[in-house]
Amino acid sequence: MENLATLTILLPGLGALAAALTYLIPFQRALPFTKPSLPHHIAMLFTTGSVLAAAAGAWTIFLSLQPTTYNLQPFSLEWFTWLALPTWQVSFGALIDKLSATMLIVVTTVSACVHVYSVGYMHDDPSRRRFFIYLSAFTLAMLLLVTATNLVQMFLGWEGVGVCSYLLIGFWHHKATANAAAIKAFIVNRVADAAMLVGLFLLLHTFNSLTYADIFGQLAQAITNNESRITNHDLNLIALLIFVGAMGKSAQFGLHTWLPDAMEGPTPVSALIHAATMVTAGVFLLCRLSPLYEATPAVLHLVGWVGAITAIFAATVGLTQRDIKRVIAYSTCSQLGYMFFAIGVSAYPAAMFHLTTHAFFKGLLFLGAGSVIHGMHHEQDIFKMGALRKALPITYGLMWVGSLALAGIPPFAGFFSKDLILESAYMAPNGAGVPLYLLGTAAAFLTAVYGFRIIFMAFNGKFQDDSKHGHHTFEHAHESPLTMLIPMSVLGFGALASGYLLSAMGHLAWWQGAITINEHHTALEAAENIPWYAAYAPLLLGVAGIALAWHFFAVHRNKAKQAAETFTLAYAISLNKWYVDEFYNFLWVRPTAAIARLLSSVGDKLLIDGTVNGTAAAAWAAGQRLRTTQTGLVYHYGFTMLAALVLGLGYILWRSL
Amino acid sequence: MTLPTLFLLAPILMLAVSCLLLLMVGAFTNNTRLTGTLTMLAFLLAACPLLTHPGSGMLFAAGGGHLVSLSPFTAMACLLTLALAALTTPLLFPSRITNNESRITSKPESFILLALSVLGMLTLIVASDMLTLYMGLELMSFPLYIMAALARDDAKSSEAGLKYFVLGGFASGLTLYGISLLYAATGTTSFAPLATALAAPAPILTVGLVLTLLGALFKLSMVPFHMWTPDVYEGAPTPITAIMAALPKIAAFALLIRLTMGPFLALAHTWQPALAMLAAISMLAGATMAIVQTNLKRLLAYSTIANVGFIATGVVAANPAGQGGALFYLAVYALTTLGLFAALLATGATQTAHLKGLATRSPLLAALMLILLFSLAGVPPFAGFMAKFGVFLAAIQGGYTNLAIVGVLASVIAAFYSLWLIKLMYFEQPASATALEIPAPLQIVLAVTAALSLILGLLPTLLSTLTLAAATALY
Repeated sequence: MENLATLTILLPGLGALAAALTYLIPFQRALPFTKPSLPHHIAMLFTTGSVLAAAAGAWTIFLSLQPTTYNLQPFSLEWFTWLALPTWQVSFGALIDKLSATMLIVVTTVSACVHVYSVGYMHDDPSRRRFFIYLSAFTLAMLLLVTATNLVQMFLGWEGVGVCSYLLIGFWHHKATANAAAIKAFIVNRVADAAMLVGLFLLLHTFNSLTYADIFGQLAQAITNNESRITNHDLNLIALLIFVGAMGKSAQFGLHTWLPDAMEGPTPVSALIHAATMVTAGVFLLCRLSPLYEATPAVLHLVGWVGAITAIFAATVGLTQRDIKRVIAYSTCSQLGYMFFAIGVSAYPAAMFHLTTHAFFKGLLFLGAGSVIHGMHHEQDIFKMGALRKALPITYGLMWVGSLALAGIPPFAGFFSKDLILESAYMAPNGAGVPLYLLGTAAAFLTAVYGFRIIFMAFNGKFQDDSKHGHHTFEHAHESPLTMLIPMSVLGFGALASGYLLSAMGHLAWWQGAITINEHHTALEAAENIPWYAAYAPLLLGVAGIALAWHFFAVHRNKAKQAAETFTLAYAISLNKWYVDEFYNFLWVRPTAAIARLLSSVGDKLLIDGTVNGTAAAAWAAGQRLRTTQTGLVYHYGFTMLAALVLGLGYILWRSL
Repeated sequence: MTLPTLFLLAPILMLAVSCLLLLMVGAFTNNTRLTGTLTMLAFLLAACPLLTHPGSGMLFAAGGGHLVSLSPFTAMACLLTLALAALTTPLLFPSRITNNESRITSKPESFILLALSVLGMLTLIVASDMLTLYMGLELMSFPLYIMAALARDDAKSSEAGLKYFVLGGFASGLTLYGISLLYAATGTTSFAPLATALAAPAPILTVGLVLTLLGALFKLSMVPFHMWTPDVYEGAPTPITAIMAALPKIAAFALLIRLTMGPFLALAHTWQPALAMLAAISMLAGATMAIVQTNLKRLLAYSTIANVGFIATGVVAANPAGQGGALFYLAVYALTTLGLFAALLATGATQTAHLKGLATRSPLLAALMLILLFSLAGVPPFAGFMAKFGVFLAAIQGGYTNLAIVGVLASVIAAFYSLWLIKLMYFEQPASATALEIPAPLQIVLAVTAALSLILGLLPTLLSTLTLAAATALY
């Protein structure tokens, strides 16, 4: 099983490497009878094949860990020690427990689906080979992140997925907007990572180790012995800083601005990275560090509030966006908010459960959106769609599955996990979670509205783009090929059934110690005893949301317009995403640019450049000066040696006297 | 003397016999390719007993001590020398695509000279007596003098050979003088009795010590005994320069470590600060002078001087981590240098400007050079970073924090020329857009060195545990 784990983690990397090697083979010269697409096909075969194999390995590991089947015990393995210092060492390896196994299946399954889907979606892209290499490399980095035994490897994977995300958002690098979005994603994440790095250094300083097992062991000991060495103050700061890092990766309110822009990347990328896997890395990390967060209730409280605010904020913005992918992106943001507020009430299992189901249904929604975009010849504006259900019947059906799961309608997956989160919040000790519950339930209503807004706008009613170009597009709208529909169906099955099949995930016992919850944080255990009205409210509001969406966007579209005109201010706030980008522009970007310009002209050009260039010039001048000693004359060289010898010897002897 | 004890010397004996056989093969067949292949085999064969039976012991009792002593440390140093020697042989191979330089060096005698020189290096490494040491030193040097002047029609090559010979002779004369002073004071030339005799300090011993070490310092091209280096590197044919830059440094450092840990251990308070001073000057001067060079071989010569300073930092630390780190650094340095010289051969570039736009002419070669240059500059995750990290850490542990600080500063300066070459390769337009074709032997050298530079950076423990064990055996 150890070898299987290693293989599963490294396979996507090997696939990417093999695919990258096709660049070294001059196909056209060596094999002139082959088609120019041959290297692309080879690359796709290697990457997709390896990720499919990895998915098979991941499922084997996951199922073996179930007590009912093979009853494999959690284990960790060490591949090699990278750095061995006297005080601490950095090793690479894998930790396989319920937490990482769950992430393994989520990542590899969605990645495999996205790989297969991309074969169809990217079929006419001239550089699709590069696309597949990036996708597989991303998968490798993500697997390294989730299976790390220590925070160094975790951070390596963390940055690795960041780099791959950057490369994939900017995949169509001839588009200026794509480049800008890629840079924005990278910079926003760097801001968050800076905080996280400080947190990691503090962690290292406090525990003298970055290995999970070491940290948790010392932490548990310090708590039982009430040691003063590890103070609450330190722990709070560490937990807070790491949470800021997680906020960046998981696009939480304040650091979410990169995620909607990241939709500039090809749609399969959005499904894999910006819905199912990378953005959930923050949630995963907090669950992995559950012993730390359980020791810092104040930070946990903040996590819950940030999550709840993100959930409601993103849901309101999702209501008015026109771009189909942006709506789903805000939805992702909102759902990630749910996961964080589950963590905030110590319901880590609920967060991980929702992470898993969300990966399936959100992946499906993105792939469905991709299918629509593909069928509509790269039209993304839902106001220019309509009546597509006849042209894309299978996509239509699958979008219904995904949206029902998103809206939390039983028996679809989202119902189980989202309800568990809301119930846990409601039942949190001392009623601390009730405000979160209210925000979350309101967001659930909005989720149903914007989720079905997409379906009714795009697939029902009549076609809305009356221009000639629009008619042309509509007439040529077509269902996607099987390579795209099959992976969508796989995810569709996940969106339909994963909630029921994996419902055991909602219990702490299922995690076999991978998650630690303080015994006083009883929200999850108490969730079963929720009063009936609180339990059914989200479901009823979800159904009401769908009905409202039907009313406004399928039957009486003009009413939606009227509503927008009546509530101008609300509409404007939502459409402009609460003006966060503008606010940041005003608060950070423009002052930073101004300060940068000032520093550039005064500080940089005069002081820094002066110093650096001065130093460089001094080194250069020293080099030039020293160079003149190199006369090329043997007797000069001999004399130098002898003179140095005599002087040196003289000094040594004089000192020893 | 029983046979099993003599078996310890198997690598050296095998190589000595091989030299004679190679001479015959070379003389009678005049077949370069055959001689070259056999030379490579001879190196690899000689390494086999070291891998299978790396014993330790003393041989040839004389003057109260032994002429030769073997230990895990010498085994490791010999192994590194032989492995890298095998890796240098492809540089001398003839190939379909040759330039003038490799035509000159692609002769059977080049290989025989190389084998003889390596024989000298092995002798130097295992020497346990000043006379063995001197013999090894000269056996190592003479073939190198000849090789430097191999391009007889070229004035620069002849000048390089002559310069190397005159200054080398000067240095070994001083070494011999030092040895005779030590003999005069103690009545022995053997390491073990010297170590006891040197415990009582006297001025004559100090002078003897400094003069003896000078031979090694000259071969290492430590400042201020470095002045021959740029001229000889520039004048000698490039494949020969590669050999001179890589192999003798290993032997000379092994000697330096054995001398400082053996006979001169009692005088540590004398050589330690002195060597620290020389190391600091070498690093700074080498790095500074490298950045103003326009000739690539001179640039690499100064880079060697800087690197020698870094390696000496590990020796100064005088702890197992330092000496092990120095061995590790030597391996990494020799690999990187060999790779870079192979790249110079492949491009035919002599001036830095010739590298402009290499990435468009040969993306693969540029990528391999990129790895090697990053390793040279000490950028993680390449091996050069681990090497520098190791010696600096050892220096701090050994109480030479100041030296480590100077080392870090010098590596910043040294990073400049690596990055500058990378900039030339990737961000400038080439003078001609013709694609480069790389001869097969050079491809091998480049691929192996670049791959190892990466592997040893990612998995440094593969080698560092061995070098650390070898160094620990000195104590």
